[in-house]
Amino acid sequence: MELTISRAEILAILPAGILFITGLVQLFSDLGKNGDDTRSEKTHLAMIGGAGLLLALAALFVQGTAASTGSLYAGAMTDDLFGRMGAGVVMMTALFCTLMSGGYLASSANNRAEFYALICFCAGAMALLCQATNLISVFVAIETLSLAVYVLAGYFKENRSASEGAFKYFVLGAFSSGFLLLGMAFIYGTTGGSISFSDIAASNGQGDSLFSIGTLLILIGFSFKIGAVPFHSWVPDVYQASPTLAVGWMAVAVKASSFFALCRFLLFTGGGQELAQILAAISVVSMLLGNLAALNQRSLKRMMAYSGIAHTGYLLIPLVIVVSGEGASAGASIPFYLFAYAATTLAAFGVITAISVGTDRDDVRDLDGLARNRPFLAIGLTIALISLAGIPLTAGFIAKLMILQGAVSSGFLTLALIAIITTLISVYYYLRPVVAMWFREPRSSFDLVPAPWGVIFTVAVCAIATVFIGIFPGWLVDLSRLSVETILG
Amino acid sequence: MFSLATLLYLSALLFSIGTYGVLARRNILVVLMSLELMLNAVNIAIVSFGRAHALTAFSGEHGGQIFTLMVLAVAAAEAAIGLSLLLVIWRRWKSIDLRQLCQLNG
Repeated sequence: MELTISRAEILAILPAGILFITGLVQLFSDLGKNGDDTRSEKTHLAMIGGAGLLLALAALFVQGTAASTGSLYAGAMTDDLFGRMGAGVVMMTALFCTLMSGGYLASSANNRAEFYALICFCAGAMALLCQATNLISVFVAIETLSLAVYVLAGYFKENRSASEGAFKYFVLGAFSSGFLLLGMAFIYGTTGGSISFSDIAASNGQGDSLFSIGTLLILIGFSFKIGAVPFHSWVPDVYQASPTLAVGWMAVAVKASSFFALCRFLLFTGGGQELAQILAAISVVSMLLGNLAALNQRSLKRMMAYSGIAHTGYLLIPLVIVVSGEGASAGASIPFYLFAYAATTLAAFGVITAISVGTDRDDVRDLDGLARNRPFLAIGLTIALISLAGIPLTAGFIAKLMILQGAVSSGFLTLALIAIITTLISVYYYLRPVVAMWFREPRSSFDLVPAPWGVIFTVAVCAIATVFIGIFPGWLVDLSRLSVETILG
Repeated sequence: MFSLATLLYLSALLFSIGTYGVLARRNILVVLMSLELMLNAVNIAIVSFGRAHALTAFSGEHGGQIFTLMVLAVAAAEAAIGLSLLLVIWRRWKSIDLRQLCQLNG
């Protein structure tokens, strides 16, 4: 067996490698400093993280839109446009979270290098997950990122509910990994010992009932990570209890990278009608429960948690179409939706972070009259919320339009109809904070500290990106279409 | 020695015991042990499949055995995170009973 590493193989792991090294550098740069300076902003950590992430993004863009390099590392991973788009979403999210960390953590006297380093390690694992093409690399990447996220969720270890939320998240997460692994074992067993996706697709194990059970178990494992309905019970609790920034990171990056991996897996293995029906059921229940439960939430973080469940439901619609074999091109709406969702959600969580800095509050009533005190934050949150609601001229509208178009043209009218009805319901709870911000009197008892610079920067960039993608979606649509074509081609 | 079916039954039995332990037991240490049991039950399944496929020589590679080694490493990391969360909970609550953890309303 040859043991040489080609140039393409090095380029493929370069972005993730840079991120892992960045995380280590951050940890070492904070060595020897005791806990007494946890109130300072530690700009150097954000600078190291920002530099590392920009370098990783540059390494990602070296290849541009070049087609797939084929299988690398004996089929463990590939370097195609689809994977690069996934890694791109994750790294941009990591960049914004790193920039926001300093001000947020310093205000809670908890500013240590671990938070930044965990975000970098997590982003590296997610980049690998988006490019993984065999069962082993998918499992190792998804576990690496999950372990980092468990720690991020329980980062405020003095806080009782944060520790409790992190532990519940850990137990349920490890439990679902057990099922994910069992599914992989069944697939490995029924396909004559195939580990890589292309071998699985080429083998004749698909007719085996054990193979279908294996695919279903893998779907269960992923459903937990993306927060789809029967496995969503951790989402509201963990979102409410965890540090706001870690929640923003979970809501965007964990969901995006899991969807990229799941989409790649399902494109290879297919799955047939039964699996498509199960996926459709999960999608419908997620849309209904997410949107209905979000209606009467007072906490903004809990509202965003249920809204995230609802968006998982929308995102599952293209996967249903892909699995049922009605047209793999419907998968093109997934990268687009995740880009739009990342920009929108980061803008929203930027504002929620700004409100919770120093006060640790996230009630909808705390937004009363925000437009008068902090007009800039109010504009950012308004743009984010109308984009989440899918109102035209925003990225969220185009993303929902693409999904509905795909569903209607492939004949999934019921799914499209339920998506439209639940979107109309969602307008109510998305617009309630907007009304509170613009039409209510400010509450005198609530003093807002000035927002940290990183938060202001993030809200500005993400809000502008949301509107920009909403007005000029063409380039991103083309990129998403091309990326899905490269997976199979 | 043992047939593939026997080994798979053993794996299924251990996996079920692990699942029951996670769902039914209230001691955090037992829950962590049950999680490890689930992963290791799957390890048995993977190596037995790997042995069966090596005998029929479809691939001639040892993917299953390598998979198991990776899972062992992941399980060790998972145990480390689980035990450190256990320590945090012990310091806050002075108890490792899951029934005490009820601040969040699910």
